[in-house]
This record gives sequence, structure tokens and C-alpha cells, in this order.
Amino acid sequence: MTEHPNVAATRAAIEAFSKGDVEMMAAGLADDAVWHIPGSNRFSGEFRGKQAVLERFRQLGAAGLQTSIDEIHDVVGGDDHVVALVRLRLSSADASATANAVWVMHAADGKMLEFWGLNDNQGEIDRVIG
Amino acid sequence: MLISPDVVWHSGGHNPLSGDYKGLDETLGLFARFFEITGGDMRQELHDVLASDEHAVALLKQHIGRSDGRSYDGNDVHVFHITDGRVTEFWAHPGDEAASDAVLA
Repeated sequence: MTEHPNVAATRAAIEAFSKGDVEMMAAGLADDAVWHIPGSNRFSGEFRGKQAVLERFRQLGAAGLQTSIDEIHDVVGGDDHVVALVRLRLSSADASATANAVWVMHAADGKMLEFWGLNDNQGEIDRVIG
Repeated sequence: MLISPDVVWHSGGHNPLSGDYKGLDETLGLFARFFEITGGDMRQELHDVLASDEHAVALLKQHIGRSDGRSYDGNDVHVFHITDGRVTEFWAHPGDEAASDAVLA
């Protein structure tokens, strides 16, 4: 199956993110991107605008929390949506949790316009983030 | 048959229906249980379907209603692992897990 350009771009952005290259990932975000972070923790909620999304990543790092990707299991997509199935790890100084995460992205003109994260182990993720 | 007899069906969330159902019999039993507790008041409206060689992902608007008036309407994601044209594993991810759990409790 030939990979859709949105899928290739998303895969590259996730690989960049997993290597800590937030700038490369940011280049794929629309200026008015909206980011929906699941759960009931201090970073859950809706972040509107590219700058707000990047600020949230900075705050996670400043709080000593690290988001890493153990595995990019698959990325599927088309003209309007891309879905990434990833094995996610959230780590703090003294705890960590993993989850099968489903990242749903709404794409427009080759940029990511909206993002929804779903984790199958949200309770544990919430406990690590606090 | 589109579903493998050895399917593993992961019903997400933390509610009485959550868990792993192994094999076709257990999976069909789960469907029956869903129908029973909702009285059939379940609807799914497909938003998009995406696929690779191994997975199909459905983005859908899910409605679940209960006879006591509780209801859930969420943007859910269903992930299918496909092997030789059959569903061998399935994961349901509610868009709002807490709200879904509250209606299925």
C-alpha cells in the first residue's frame, strides 16, 4: 500500500519528536492548531494555537516530566485524518507509566490542524503527571 | 466471517463491560450484553476510516443511551488489527472515557 503524504509527514514528525526535535514537529503544526490532551491531570485540556501547544511541551519538561515513544506501531491516514498507534511512556523523577496511545490528527493543506490523544491507561498516566 | 474465531476484543474504559474478550463466543456475548443494557439504544455514525496493511481505524460518533435517561455521545476511535482479511484484535477507545464509564456503570 502506498503511503499517503500526510502519513509520511506524520511519521517523520513523530520520529523527530521521539528524538527530542520539537522544532521539526512544530514545523508541521498549523498556526491555529488545537491540541486536546486527555485525562485528569495538570496538563489535560485544550490548547489553542501553535504557541500554546509548544508552551505546554515546555511546561511538561520544566516539571521534570518526559514523554517518550517506545514504539511507533503504525500510522494510517488519508487526506483529512491521520491516526498514529504508538506505545507511549510518561516518566517523572520517580515513576513511569506506559500506554497504548491513539493519536488522531485532523490535517489540512499538509499541516496538523487538530490533535486528540487517547490513552488506554489514562489513570496511570494521570498518577505519574499528577 | 469477517471476525476471526480467535479474535481478542478489548473493550476500553473502567466499567462493567470493560476488559478483554477472547474468541468469537465471548465477543458475541459482549455484543449481546451491550444490547441488553442499552435496550438497543446505540448508534454509530462513521466520520472516517483509515487503513494500512495491518490496521483499520474507524473514527466515529458513538451514541449510547440508557433507559434511565443517561446518555453518552462521544468521538470514539475503533482500532482493528487485520490478518488475512479478518479482524484478529480490536480496541475501542472512548473519546471521553469518564463520560462513557458513567453511562455504562
